[in-house]
Amino acid sequence: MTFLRAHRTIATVIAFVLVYAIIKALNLAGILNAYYIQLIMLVGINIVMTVSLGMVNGFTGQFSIGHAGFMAVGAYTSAMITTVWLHATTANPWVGYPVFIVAILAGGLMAAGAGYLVGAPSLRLKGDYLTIVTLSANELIRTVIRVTPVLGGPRGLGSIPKLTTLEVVFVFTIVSVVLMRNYLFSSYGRSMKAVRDSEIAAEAMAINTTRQKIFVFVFSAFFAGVSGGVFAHLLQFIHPDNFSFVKSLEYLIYLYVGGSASISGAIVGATVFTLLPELMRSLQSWRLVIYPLILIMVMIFRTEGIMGLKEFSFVLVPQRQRKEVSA
Amino acid sequence: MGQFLQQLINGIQIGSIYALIALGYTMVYGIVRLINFAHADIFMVGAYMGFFLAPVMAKVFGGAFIPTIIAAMLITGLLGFVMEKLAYRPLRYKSRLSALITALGVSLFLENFCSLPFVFGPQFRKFPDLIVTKQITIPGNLGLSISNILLLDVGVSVILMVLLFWFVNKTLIGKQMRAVAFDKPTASLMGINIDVVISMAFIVGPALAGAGGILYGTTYGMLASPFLGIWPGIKAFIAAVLGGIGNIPGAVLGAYIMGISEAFATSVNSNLGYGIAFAILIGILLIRPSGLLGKFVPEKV
Amino acid sequence: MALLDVQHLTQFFGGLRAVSDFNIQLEHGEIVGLIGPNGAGKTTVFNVITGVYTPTKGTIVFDGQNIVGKKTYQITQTGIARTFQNIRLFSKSSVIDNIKIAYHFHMSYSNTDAFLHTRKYWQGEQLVDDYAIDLLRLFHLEGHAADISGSLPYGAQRRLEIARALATKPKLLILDEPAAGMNPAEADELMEMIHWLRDKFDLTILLIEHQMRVVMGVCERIKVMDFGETICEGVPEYIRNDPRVCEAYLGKGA
Repeated sequence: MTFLRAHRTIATVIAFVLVYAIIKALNLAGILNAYYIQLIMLVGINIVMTVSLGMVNGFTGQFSIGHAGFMAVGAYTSAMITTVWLHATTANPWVGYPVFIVAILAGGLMAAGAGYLVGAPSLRLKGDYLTIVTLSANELIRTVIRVTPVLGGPRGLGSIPKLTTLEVVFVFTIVSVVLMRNYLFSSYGRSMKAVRDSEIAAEAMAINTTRQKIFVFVFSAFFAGVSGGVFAHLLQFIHPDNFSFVKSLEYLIYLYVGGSASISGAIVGATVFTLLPELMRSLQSWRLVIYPLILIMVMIFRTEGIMGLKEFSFVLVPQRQRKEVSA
Repeated sequence: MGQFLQQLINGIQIGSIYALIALGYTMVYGIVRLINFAHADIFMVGAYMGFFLAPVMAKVFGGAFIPTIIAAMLITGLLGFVMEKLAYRPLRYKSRLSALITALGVSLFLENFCSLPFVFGPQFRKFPDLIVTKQITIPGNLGLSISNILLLDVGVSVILMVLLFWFVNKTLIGKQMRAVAFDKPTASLMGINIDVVISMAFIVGPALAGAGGILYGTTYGMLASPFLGIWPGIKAFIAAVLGGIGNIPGAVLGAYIMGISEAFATSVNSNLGYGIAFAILIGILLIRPSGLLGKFVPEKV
Repeated sequence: MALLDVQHLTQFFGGLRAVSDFNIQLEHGEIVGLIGPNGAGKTTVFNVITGVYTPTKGTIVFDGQNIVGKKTYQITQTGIARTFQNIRLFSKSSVIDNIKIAYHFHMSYSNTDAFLHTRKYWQGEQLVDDYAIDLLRLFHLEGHAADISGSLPYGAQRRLEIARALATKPKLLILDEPAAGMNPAEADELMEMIHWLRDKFDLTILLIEHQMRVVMGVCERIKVMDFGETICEGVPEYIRNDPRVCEAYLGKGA
């Protein structure tokens, strides 16, 4: 590590630890009660959902509109694992957490599998197919859940142990965003963007565009699945209606208003729209009237979203020094 | 056998309504390559227009059905026209993606705006009786009976479809629309006014959806909420894709296939009826990506 | 053995015959030109060779391998790179990223290394960064390395497209109207560049071009096409005077 890079990384880590500490302190002091803590946790979950959606829609130039379907796969898979292995009354974290981690990862892997089933055939085709197929897949997944009694069907799945805590969400959000950020700033990330800018040219430059698109789609589904698992263990009760196409639409709004061409945009969009309803409490029924209007305004007047192409500095990867040419 | 025919008949009934909606999706897509997600909500507005206008029409004209459906079509046609002018036209030369996202936004906006108490309100509404319902028993030993509403649904749909076919194939503006759908830049070079053609698509398509809304209300007798357009809209959209998006006869074919399979699937299990739509879609796209009657147009390198 | 051996290539689009019985052999190190009026089928030939279309009939053997039926990216990986008639840069990416993208399939780190930013990742990135800057330097573009490629002036964009194609380390470089939109001075520079490219990078070059000055000045051999057929072939002096070529471009009675 160069000195500059180590310096920057340490500063960023300290900043995040501080934020966590402040929130925790406010919580213990009673200023931020459980409701607000849950809201903050939802911000974290929505950030990961939106950033992962942004990998496919923003950076690889696709239009997937069924992201909540993968969240559902992860939520139900992980919930099934924990409700079967752990009884809801287990308070012993030494048993609970390993099972939780296994469950979450299993949820992510199942979601990744679903992502492969959905993405592999449709990403080979050019045109609007992915859009249509992801919409259908989202609803098919919900249908499957509804007709499967062991998943609770239309009555939902409850008694999920509350294993998600602020610490869990912090770690999960930061790790997920860092992993995706890392990938984006790599040669594979450049290939993704090449596919977005000109798929024909990318093919001509020796990039297997189909494989790249599928890979991004699958890992995006993975992160959605993990988010679903964290979500399920926060709310303790999940229902197919939590993961409908309308939910997918919400993530699309977060992404495109925040700015689909940057990770920071996804973070901003998710944070703003998760917190906004709280600020607009009095306007509850108007909220869903105003959100779409905001979206339309942004699309017409600032198509690139709030953040445009810009990234917050903590998102960027430090550059190595370039060698100077000798005279 | 009787059961089979009954479901078939039910399917044709549902399919007729889907067809009216699907035609709008396919026309707009054919001309501007946009999946107008808000189309389903125009259908919803049509249905609510039936609810609000029927009593008025009954008083003014005596009979309620024909004036109501005409009024609904006029209003939804106007709504489509305004929607295009305000929300889609500014984005016409920007990326297709922004237009798609805006369409999603318009859809969400309409649904939630209409749910506000002073607009349509979120509550359940009983749809007024526009015609007197009669059951007609089919002679023969199959034990079938159909309602005159079914005849109405199929009849009105077929009449409108015939009118549409005439419009698209025989009138000048219809031919212009086909030209623009085929090759927009060249069409404009040939002196066709693109603005007018696009507006036309956004009037005719929505008008058909409005008619579909009235039929929907008459058939189901109730309006659950301003979100009622979502699922019929999705199914009609799938029908359009199934038949080949952009292809008008394809949309009709797709709609009837969707309606009939939904009827059969629902008779097995109501949840299945809901999901069969998507299963069919994915199946068709895997086998024939351009849809049953569609053509695949590759990009020039 | 010829580097590229195309035999009896025929291409139909539905009922339209775009290319008819096209043959070409390229020896290592040659610079060969393909000319003809618009619509003659030249770009179609390029598109078939680079895998955009599968030929209706015919064989294509490159570097000893049959490449018919291979996908475009596979063909590029075997050593054929191309530029496009209408510039297709990755316009939202930076100049240097355009080069790095074309270098991608030479990279040695995996997806896992990318997610975790391992040592292999850092080494790979340093490598490609050094390579890309050096390549840009050769094309006098290193000052623009961080600029968004879409913002470059037209001539610089064309240079970048060629540089990008070279980052795939090809043996055969296919140039589709490289001089399009250039004035005579720029065209002269291009001619010099093409010779330099062939020598410096040990390339074989096949190009489509309409500017006769460039074609005559740079090509060692020329094939002329019209209506999908080859109507003439030979060295520049021979082609220049052939009546069939004049007729194809200028019509009878010229």
